[in-house]
Amino acid sequence: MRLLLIEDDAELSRSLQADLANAGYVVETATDGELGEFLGATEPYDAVILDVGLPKLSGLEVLRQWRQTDNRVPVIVITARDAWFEKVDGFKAGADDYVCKPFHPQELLARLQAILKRVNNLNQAKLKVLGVELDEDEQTAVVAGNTAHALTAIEFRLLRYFMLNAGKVLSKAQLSEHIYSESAEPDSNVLEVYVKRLRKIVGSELIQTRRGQGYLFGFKA
Amino acid sequence: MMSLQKRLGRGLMAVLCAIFVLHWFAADWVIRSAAEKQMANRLADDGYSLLETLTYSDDDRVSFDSFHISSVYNRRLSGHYYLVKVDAHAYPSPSLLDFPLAVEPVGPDQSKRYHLTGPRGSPLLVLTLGAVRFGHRINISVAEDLSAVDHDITSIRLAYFGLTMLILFSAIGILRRDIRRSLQPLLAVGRELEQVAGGTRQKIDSDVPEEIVPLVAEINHLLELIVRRLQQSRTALGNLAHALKSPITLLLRASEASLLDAHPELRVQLNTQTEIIHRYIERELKRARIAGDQPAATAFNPRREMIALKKTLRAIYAGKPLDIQVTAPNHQVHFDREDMMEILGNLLDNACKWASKQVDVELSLQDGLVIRVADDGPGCEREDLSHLTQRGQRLDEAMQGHGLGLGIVADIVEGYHGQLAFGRSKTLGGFLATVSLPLRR
Repeated sequence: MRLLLIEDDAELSRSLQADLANAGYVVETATDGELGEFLGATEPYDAVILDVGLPKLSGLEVLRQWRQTDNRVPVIVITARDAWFEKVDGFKAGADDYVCKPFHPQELLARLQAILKRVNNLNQAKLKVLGVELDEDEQTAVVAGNTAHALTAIEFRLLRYFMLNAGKVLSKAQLSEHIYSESAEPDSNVLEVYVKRLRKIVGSELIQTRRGQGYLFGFKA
Repeated sequence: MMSLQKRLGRGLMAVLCAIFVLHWFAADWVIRSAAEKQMANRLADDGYSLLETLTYSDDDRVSFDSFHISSVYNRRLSGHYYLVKVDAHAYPSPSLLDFPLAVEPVGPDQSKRYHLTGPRGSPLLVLTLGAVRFGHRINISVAEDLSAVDHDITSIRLAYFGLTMLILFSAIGILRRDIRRSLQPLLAVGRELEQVAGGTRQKIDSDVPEEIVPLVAEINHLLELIVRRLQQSRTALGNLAHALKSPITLLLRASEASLLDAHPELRVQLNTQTEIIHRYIERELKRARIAGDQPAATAFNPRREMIALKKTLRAIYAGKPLDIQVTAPNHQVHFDREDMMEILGNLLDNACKWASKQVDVELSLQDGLVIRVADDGPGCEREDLSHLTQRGQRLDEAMQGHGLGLGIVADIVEGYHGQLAFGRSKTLGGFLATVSLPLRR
């Protein structure tokens, strides 16, 4: 496994390099953003460990440039800036994981192993059933390749439950359990209203009413 | 304090009313004098006509001939009278019917105009001319009843009064409108300040009159200063954190060194103390970063940020099959983004840590911002709930990742004068954290 470590603190870089080498990785290092960006863009690494606070080019900017050119190399961001908005901005820029300083070297190694394991099946937050594609992160639905339709929280929950249970008859009680949240008070009419709204989005033939039993998500037999 | 509009309005109205009253009296006086002057001219004509008719008879008597002047002086109580005095002898006009007209004597070649009360109490204007003829002092008084003129003047006065009132009221109306229009920019500034307080605006940019330009400039300057100070202190703290954390990482690594295998107690000590320093820095830095309830907060879109946060947590907890359900409004909300992300991140992180597979996040805007984070984990016993936010304050008790987050949330909530409550989720059965932040005001 070949790794790129981009870290400007020479002492930390040296010690991390030693730890990573001990764990059996081949490690190359860069001490500034520009060099790191160049190396990451030209050499095939299995993963990159990227410090955010770098001279010349910030870590997030390096990451953004790679992601813009469709470089999908797994990146673990290490940073001293650990406010949640910074973590979120880091992930928005395309980070795969985030380790806050200070950290135990074992923690970084564990994260690295985890990321190498799941790098191939990450970003599969999409559910696709009967021509309906549900993006679980964005809470949007795409029906028959049309434009994405933003769903409200309850619509999303209901549709997802339908899609996860396609072909099964679902009772109203069962469905209610899956759409109500902390602040909502159960009301039997609400469910019908939401089913009606979902029919408008995914097409009315896809959600059938079974009298006395409940609803069924799936094509007419 | 009285509003400027009222104050200006009242002052101007008082001045206007005073001016109009004075003006009305002046005009009234002018009208009356003009009428009397005209009347006096006529009286003078008659008086001089009488004077012309004076004749001297041989027995040293002066007599006059009233035949040549208007016949009204002969009609009884016609309203036109004369009284000719030759020395001590008085010759009243027949129209006077023996009414004793108390005329005032004047010297030769003088004349006097004055008012008297005539027969039946009628007001008279009297003109007395003085002359010396044939060695005798002669006073000729001619009088005319003013009633008719008074009547005319009264109607003119009324008409003029109406006209004056009309002009006064239109002037007041126009002035009020003008005052309101002139105060418009001030009201606009007031509205913009409200928007600034509400967070929808960062500075005042109305086109204001030059008198309040310095005021607006100063307010804008202060607003900018608040934003810059916050930015500066946040940057400085970030830099400090950055500078301190690499050495701490190295200390932590040093505690793992094989050299310490022989001294396990030293390793534990090094490790624990480093952790304590770290917690301490962490806590104080995070506290210092809280923006709190301040007018310069930039807006953020809860739904968009929650979706990004959800992705982040899914990545952080990649080893755990978590189902994070999000309900959040899809429009701008005026609370500081960093603070809100810190609250949400900590509550969600906590929930993800304890949840077995489900986390439910709800953001709603009613009277304020309400955040509910629930999980299906083991929850927390009632007696422990009150200690939750205190954990992490005693640094030696703080375990990695436990308590500190909720303590920060409590600090932020306090900064916004909000409320933080913990309990058990009724839908998921686990822990429920509820944060309510009032809307600014």
